[in-house]
Amino acid sequence: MSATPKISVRNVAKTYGHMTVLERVNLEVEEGAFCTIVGASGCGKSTFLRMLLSQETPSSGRIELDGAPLPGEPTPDRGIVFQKYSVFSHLTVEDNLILAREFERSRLLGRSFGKGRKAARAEINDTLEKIGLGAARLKYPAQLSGGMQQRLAIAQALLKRPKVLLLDEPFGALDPGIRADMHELLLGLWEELAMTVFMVTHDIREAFKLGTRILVFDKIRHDPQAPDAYGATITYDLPLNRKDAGPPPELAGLAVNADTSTGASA
Amino acid sequence: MEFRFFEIYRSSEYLLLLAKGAGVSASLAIGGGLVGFLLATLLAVSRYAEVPVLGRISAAYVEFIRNTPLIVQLFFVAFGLPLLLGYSWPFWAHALLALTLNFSAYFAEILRAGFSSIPSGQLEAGAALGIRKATIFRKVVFPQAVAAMYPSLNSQFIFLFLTTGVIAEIGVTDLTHAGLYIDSRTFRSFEIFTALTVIYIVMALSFKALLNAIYRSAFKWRTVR
Ligand SMILES: Nc1ncnc2c1ncn2[C@@H]1O[C@H](COP(=O)(O)OP(=O)(O)OP(=O)(O)O)[C@@H](O)[C@H]1O
Ligand SMILES: [Mg+2]
Repeated sequence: MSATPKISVRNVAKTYGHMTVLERVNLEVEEGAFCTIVGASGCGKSTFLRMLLSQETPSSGRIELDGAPLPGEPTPDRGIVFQKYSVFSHLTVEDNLILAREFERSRLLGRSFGKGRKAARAEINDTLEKIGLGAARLKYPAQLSGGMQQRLAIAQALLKRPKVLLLDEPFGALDPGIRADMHELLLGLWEELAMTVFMVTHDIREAFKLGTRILVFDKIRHDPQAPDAYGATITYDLPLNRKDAGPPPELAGLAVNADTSTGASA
Repeated sequence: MEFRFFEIYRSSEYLLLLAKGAGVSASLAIGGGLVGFLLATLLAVSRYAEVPVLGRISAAYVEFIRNTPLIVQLFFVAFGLPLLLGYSWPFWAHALLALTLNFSAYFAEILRAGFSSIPSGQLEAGAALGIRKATIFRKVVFPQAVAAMYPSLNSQFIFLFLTTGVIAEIGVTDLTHAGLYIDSRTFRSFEIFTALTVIYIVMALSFKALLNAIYRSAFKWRTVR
C-alpha cells in the first residue's frame, strides 16, 4: 500500500451558469476503499461521479488520480454504471460487450485482427460467466430482467478491468431480493479485482451494508433568497465497519430522512 | 353509360404497357428512395453534428425542397438545369435525379428528428466507455434512430411513391403515363383510371408489406419481447 491516495479531491466546486451545484469538496480516498455516497436528490452526486470520470470538469479545484492530475477524458482505468440507459438496447448482450471493448483496440491498432478478436471473445465469455449472463449471450436488453440489465452494465464497466469503479444508483430500479444478490456479486467483484469503488445510492441501508466509508453530500449554507447561490459539499465522511448492525448514532436521523425520500422518489 | 373493362384487359398491348409502367414507377421510386436515403443521411448528419457551413446549407436545402412543388423541381431538373449545365440525359434519369433530391429532403427531416430523439444517456454511456463520437454515432445513434423513425420513413416513402405520377409530365413512361396513353386511345376514362387506382393501391400495400418485413428482420431488437 502506497502513501499516495488513489483519488484526491482538492477544494472542488462545480457551477452551471449561475447555479452552484458543488463547492469546497475535499476528499482523499485510499486504494481499495468502497465509498458509498448519499444525499438529497439534485445535490450533485451524479455530477461528482461524472467529474471523477472526466465527463465533467471542475469549475475550480483539482482532482488527482494516483497523485497525478485526472486525465481530460474517460480512460479504461475508470468504469461507470449509470442508473439507466447504460446498455445499448439495439445490441445483444454479447455485442454490447464487443462494442465496449473494441474501442481500445481500434484506438491502438486501427482494427482488431483475427487473433485479437478471438482473445476478446474469450475474455467476453469469461466476464459473462463471472457475472451470470452466460446463458443470455444472444439476448437483447429488452428480453432481460432489470437485474440482468444492470449485470450487463456492470459487465460492460468491468471489461476494461478498471481500478476505479463508479456506480450511480445502479440498483435503484431493482426488487429487494434481486438487490441482495447484486450486493453479493458486487462485493465479490470488488474483492477479486481490488477496485476502488464509489457508489451513489438513495438506500441508506445499502450504503451501510456495502461501504467501507460513507460520504454524505448536503448544503451547509443556504440563502432562501437565492437557492442556487450555494452548493452542496461533503458534510459527513465516516468510516464504516460492515459488522456493525446499523448506522452510527449521529446518522440515525439521516437514515430516516433518506428512507422517506427514497419512498417518495420511487 | 356502359363500362367495358374488357377493352383494356383483352388487349395484350395495353396490359403490357401498364405492367411496364408499373415497373418503371416502382424502379424509380426504389432508386430515388435508396439514393435519397443516402443523401438524407449526409444532410441530417451535417445538421445534427452542426458542421459549420454544410449544416446550414443542408438546412436551407431541406427547407427549399419541402416548400416547392415536386413538379416544379422536376421541370427544373429536366428542362432548366440542362440549359445551364449542358447535360442531356434520358427522361428516366432526369426523373430519378428529381425524385432523389425530393425524397432526400423529406427523409432528412425525419432522420434529424430521429437522431435528436436518442436519449443522451446512450451517448454518455458510449463516451464513458471511451468510444469516439463518430463511432458512437455510427454504431449507436444511427441504428437506433433509423429503427425509431422507421414507421415515419415507411409512410413517407409510400406517400412520395404516390406522388411520382408527375414524372409522366416529362415523358417518362411510368404507370400514370401508361394510363394517360391508353385513355387517349380508348376514351375509356372510368375503366382505365379505376384500373390505375387499383394498381397503385396494390403497389403501395406491397411496398408497405415489404418494408415491414425488412423492419422485422433488420431491427429484431425492437420486436423481441
Ligand atoms: N449539464 C448540466 N447543465 C446544467 N445543470 C446541470 C447539468 N447537470 C446537472 N445539472 C444540475 O446540477 C444539479 C445536480 O445534478 P445531479 O444530477 O448531480 O444531482 P444528483 O445528486 O445526482 O441527483 P439525483 O439523486 O436526483 O440523481 C441539478 O440541479 C441539475 O439540474
Ligand atoms: Mg444522480
